Amino acid sequence: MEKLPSHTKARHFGMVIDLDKCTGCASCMVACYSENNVSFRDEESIKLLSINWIQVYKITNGKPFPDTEVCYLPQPCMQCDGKDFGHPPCVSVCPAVATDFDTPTGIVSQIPVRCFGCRYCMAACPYHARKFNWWDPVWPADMERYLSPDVSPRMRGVIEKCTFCYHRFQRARQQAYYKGDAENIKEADYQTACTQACPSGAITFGDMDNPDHAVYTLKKSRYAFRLLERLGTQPSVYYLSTRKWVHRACDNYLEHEEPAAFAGKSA
Amino acid sequence: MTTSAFPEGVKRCSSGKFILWLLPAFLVLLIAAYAMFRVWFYGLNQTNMNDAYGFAIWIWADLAVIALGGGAFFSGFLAYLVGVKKVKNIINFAVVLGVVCYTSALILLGLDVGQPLRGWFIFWHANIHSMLTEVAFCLTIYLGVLIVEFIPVILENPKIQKIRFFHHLSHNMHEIMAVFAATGVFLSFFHQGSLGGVPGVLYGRPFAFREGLFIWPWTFFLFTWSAAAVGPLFTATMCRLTEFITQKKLVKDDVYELLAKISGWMLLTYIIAKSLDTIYWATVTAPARGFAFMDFYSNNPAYYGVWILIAEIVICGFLPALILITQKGRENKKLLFGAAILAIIGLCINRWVMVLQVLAAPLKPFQEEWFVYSPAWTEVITTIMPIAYGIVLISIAYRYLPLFPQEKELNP
Amino acid sequence: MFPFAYEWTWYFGQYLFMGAAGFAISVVGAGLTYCIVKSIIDIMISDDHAEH
Repeated sequence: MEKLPSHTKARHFGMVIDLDKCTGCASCMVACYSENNVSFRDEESIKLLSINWIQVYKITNGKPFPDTEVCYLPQPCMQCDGKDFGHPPCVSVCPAVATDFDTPTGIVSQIPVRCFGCRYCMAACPYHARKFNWWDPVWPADMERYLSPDVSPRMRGVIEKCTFCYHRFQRARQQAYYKGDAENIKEADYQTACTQACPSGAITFGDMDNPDHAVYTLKKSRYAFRLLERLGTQPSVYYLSTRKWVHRACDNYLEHEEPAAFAGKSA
Repeated sequence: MTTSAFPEGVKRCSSGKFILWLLPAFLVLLIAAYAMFRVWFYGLNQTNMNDAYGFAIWIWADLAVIALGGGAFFSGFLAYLVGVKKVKNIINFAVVLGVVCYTSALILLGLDVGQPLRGWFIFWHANIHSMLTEVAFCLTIYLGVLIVEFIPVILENPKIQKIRFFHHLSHNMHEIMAVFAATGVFLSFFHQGSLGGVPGVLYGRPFAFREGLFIWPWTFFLFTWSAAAVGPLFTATMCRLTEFITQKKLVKDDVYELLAKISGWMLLTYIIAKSLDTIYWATVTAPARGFAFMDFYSNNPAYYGVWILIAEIVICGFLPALILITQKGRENKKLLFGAAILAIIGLCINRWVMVLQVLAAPLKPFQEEWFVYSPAWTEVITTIMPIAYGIVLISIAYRYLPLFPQEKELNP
Repeated sequence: MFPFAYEWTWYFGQYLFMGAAGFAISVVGAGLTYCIVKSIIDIMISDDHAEH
């Protein structure tokens, strides 16, 4: 693990998504496209060729009507801490250090101009959170003028992924610095675009190590779980659901095993 | 008196026949060159890869040709370091085959990256923790070693031998070939292993992930061992194919039998180790992550059933190994080369499984379906390219260079 | 690859990896140089012999 510089305050940013609140409206996706200059094409029917930094999946309990239940699962990059806090599955495999684990924030970075497109990180990520630029990014006429100046558009042939709107963190840190207290970034000062766009308030974002931030308490909920947690990737994104089948749908269990929140209970 | 361009004392076909023989291969190379142009110019959207199948047929072909090209390093190890003299009768051919395999692998890798012009980043900005970095370093340096091993063979062409400097150079390079061979063995051990490490370290992919020793997953050692076992069998089989095409005996049978015996025992030990690895993975590693063994072999489209494992371990593993370790099996040439072909197929299946099945297997329970991919024509033709390229290079090398020291004796 | 790049870290693994790579390149390079130099010397010696 990298040592923190002595003047840097350690933070561990994370997200808690309440699946019982998510309506699947995909506002988070739209906000993300706009905030992060994510490119799109006319033809987007093949989802495995689409670029999105947060993707809403529709999952069902598989039962016939009238017992059918649906749950929408927004999935950004999980910003995994990985083994020994600092070795997410994707980071150590990158041959050119184009992706790195930022110890002071717990965010996994992606440097498109350093990436040469070997896609090893994509193979390493069990969440399919990493997207490849199969085409040159092209925006409809005039739309280029509306691109965000804070985020560089990516070129063909490189990987991109969610950065927890890191540029917003940089901005918040800068503002805090000008206010004279560089270390004091309040919860509201740094929020991701998807969090702010969610109309049902399903997404909560903040410093998971700071008791003043909502995520600190939320992630300790009995019903909190992480996607494919058993792989040992240590994601920084937590999900909440009171429904057992949702827990079961989000990780792999052998027949006799139960999700931790429901062990020994039926729900 | 003019010197013939052909090696001394051997017969070669007419130039017309030779060019005619090479024409189909050149045609394939031409189409492949066009496909390569499309991929480099328009990008990887010219392939059928997608975000689930980030690695596809090229990476499989890459791993397969590198493993099969392993015959060069292991034959070199036997001939120059262990001192098995008989192997020297096939070592030149093994080196040419190695050059074909490794240059093809590097071309395919160059095609496969999204930003080929930034390929040098892997050396300049090397992340030494990445298995791919280790692969890139060892692969590139080893190709250099192979070319160094190939140079004295080229210099032995009678026309080139007339130039005194080259005459001395080839002699001097032969003298210290053991040094180059030793470096090649060292580099090969690491890059063959690192190629195994590439899937083995993916702890987010329970189908591929393996525990191991220090930083190396078990697949590291299994890949090296299997390449060393099957590589020489590939060399022998290709040599036999050359004999068939040229209608000449080029290498004595005892050379084949010796290689088959060594490979047979190595294959047997490898396949036992592979079986133990599979059992441990199926009963300990995968269940700890919530996966039952059959999860990886059921509900999948057509070709990913459990038979792929049976084919790899039993039909293309134990069966050829048992044939090759018995004297009767080796003496019967049909059995010997049948077993060799099975072993080669087994190795290719292993590399296929460790690259493509890894990516195809669903991980999120709510995404039950396997990911499906079928290669585009650009991928298929460039994957076939190494064969055409191999035909061209081996044909030229065979025609002009003394690849087989026993040829003159066997064809008086 | 070199200490001036930001990804370089001063630790044992880095020296080992780059050391091994450098060693392999040096051995091959030195071997080739030896062969070339020796070939030149061999020619000079045989020329000497031819003169006598």
